[in-house]
Amino acid sequence: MDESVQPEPRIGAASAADIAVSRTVSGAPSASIPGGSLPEPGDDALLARIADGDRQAFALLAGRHAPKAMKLAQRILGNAADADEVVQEALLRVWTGAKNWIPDGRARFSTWLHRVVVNLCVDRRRRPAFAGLEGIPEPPDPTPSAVNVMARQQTAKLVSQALAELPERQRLAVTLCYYEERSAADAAQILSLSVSAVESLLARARRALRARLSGVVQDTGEV
Amino acid sequence: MADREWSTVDVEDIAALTAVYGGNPARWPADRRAAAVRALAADGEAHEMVVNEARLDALLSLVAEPEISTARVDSVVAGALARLDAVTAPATAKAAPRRLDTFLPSPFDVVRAALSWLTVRAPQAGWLAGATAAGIMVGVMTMPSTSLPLSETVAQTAGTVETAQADVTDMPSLLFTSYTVETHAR
Repeated sequence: MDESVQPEPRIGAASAADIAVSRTVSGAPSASIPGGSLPEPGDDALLARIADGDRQAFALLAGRHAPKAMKLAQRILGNAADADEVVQEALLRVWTGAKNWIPDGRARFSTWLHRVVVNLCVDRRRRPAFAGLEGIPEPPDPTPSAVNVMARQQTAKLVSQALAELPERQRLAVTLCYYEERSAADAAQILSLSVSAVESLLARARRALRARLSGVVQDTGEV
Repeated sequence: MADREWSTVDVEDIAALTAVYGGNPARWPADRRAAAVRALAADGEAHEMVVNEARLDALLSLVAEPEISTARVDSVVAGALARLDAVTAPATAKAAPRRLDTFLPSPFDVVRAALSWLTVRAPQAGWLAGATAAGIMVGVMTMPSTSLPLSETVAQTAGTVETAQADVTDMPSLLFTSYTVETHAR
């Protein structure tokens, strides 16, 4: 890239344009690419541009992958604010690490990004927790029509609790394979484990969940 | 589990499969899904096993999916864009290839570094090292030559010089070999 021909974009104004570019990928209405008929560049092409300092390519790639990464982080961390911070940090690592990306077709960018997100989440969970508002139970809805909803919410809370009590790796395996619908091979790559190790984690997690949710089983008769 | 051909599966295979992946065939690995679904249709025990696991899946699915709004995504992306300058830019982070001579210090650099170390960092040690070096140099320069025949040595000097160990030629040996020098006056 010739710096004299294409000057460095300013943060403020250029960021708004970049976000508009990222929206075209994440599904929201776009004003920056009329018609939207242009083929979207692949992740590898965008990473090559990012390695040259292309901020628009970064915004495009970030907008494409941030939603899933945020969902994964929020499932692991349990709150939105921490998840957003983690994903932002992961995106910055994309910016600094893009020059090291080798587009050989063996590794998918999303798998790499999710690995970074998972590792950052694990690091964050090991820090001393701040007792925020998330720990305060919500007041129950007094309307009678809400009884079924409350029962369902209560069950969901018990399941969330049982998931949270799982050992870290088991919880990560369940999150990736059940909630993020990743294959065991993908999860193995993200967690830097073998496929059989991931399968073992999943089996142990299911056994533990079944044991912890046995009360729910008896109450609801579902399991 | 992964090295096997999965043309047919039995109840034990179904049990192992559901214990890991649950009761939803969509989550089962593609290489064994078709055979497992065929076995389900034929085996009531396997079918019951899958239904039981699907109940646990149903409980797990009660956990709400995190809602990721467009505004949140925009905020995260904007935050990352705003911080790009704070982290090392990829284009500028690329290390320019260095020539070999940039890795090797010039003699001037060596002398300058030695002088700075001697004069600034450790003057006492510098003086000590200098004195030691000077002493070694004097010792080497005044050491009797081993190549001269004894007769010439005798002719040049007034006495006889005998060296006990004079068969070394390299500099480290010359510096660290103890010489026994005896001078016999005529």
